[in-house]
Amino acid sequence: MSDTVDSEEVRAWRVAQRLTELRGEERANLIRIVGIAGFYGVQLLNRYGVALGPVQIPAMEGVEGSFHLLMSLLALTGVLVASGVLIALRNRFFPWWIKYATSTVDLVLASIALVVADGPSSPLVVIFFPLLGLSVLRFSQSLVRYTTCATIVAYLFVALAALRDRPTLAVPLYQAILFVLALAIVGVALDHVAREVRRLAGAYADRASRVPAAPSADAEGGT
Amino acid sequence: MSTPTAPDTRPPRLCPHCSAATPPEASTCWLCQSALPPYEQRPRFEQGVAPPRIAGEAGAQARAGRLEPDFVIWSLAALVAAAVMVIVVIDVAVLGGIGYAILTALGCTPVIGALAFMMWMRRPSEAGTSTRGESREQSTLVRIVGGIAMAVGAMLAVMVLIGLLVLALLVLLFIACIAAEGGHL
Ligand SMILES: [Zn+2]
Repeated sequence: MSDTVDSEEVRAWRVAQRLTELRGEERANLIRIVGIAGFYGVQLLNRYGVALGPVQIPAMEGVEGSFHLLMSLLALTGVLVASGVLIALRNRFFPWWIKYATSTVDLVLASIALVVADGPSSPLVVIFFPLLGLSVLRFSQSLVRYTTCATIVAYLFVALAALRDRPTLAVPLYQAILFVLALAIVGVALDHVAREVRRLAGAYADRASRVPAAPSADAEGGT
Repeated sequence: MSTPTAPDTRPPRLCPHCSAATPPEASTCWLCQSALPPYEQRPRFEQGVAPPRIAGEAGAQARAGRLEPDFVIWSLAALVAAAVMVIVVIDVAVLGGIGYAILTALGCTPVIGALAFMMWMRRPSEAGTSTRGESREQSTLVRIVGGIAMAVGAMLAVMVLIGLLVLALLVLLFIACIAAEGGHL
């Protein structure tokens, strides 16, 4: 470990960053599980419909049993992966690469779901945006950059797969370009957030050290 | 205090840098990845490097003396995950048939069991009390929040156990159905 040569400042930052990363991983994992539950719930409504007094959602025509089964198993896989993260965190297994692994698995599962659904024409294609958004919770610039690139690659994969195997579901080129552009813009914005957080912490530490004995009521209360 | 012998029963100790509880045999902190001093010569919490100033619940936990995965968030995630698994098993039973449902249930049960077990074993009440004889008095707020978290955790654990029971009943039902249908899946 390079622990002995680290300056206090470098170590303080690393400790703070790892704490933020842990909290972010927990939060991202919760959002991931709730998200899967939500998307799967919509899929269940699609399949079976609902009739509760004023709320009447008819079952969608043409949702085949095998398709729905596949979606159920994808949701199950996602939840099992998220449970693996829960078990790992509870056992203090928290390597640096876990954030890349979970982002990759998310994207792979979403891509498979889209390829078996209606490809780039599916309304499910919006799922790429929350998956990209989750990356910023770890406040790691490299994770945000990686996820942005991976999301764009996943979308292109889905679009090209539709073009090759099911041309009726393919989207026109301008639509694909717009989507990729939107993903890239969100990625750039998130990258900025991840970078500025460090600058903000530095600015705060700098100001806090210049005010030696600020009255606590003033420091705590005024946000 | 007597010298501990194998297996290592020494209590976990706090990382002097981030105050995460680390196993006694660890040489590196699992959380902040700083090198830890040898167990015997560990610096007292107050003499070590001051824990980083962190806001919110992480800060509250660090000040309470011990940093662990957030119990409420963890339990909530585990509960929703278990619920989704149970629904998928039922759904698979309706659509794919009994054989697939049993396979799915067999895959899910150990995971749900592990989640329920961890939810039950690592309650916040066990954290923060035994690690340091010299620990400061816990503030009333921390005790109230800890108590609420424990009650919620116990409730969630019971709900997961009920989910498990439902799962077991389902499996039994499927087996009964197979037997009634003459054993073809
Ligand atoms: Zn540490």
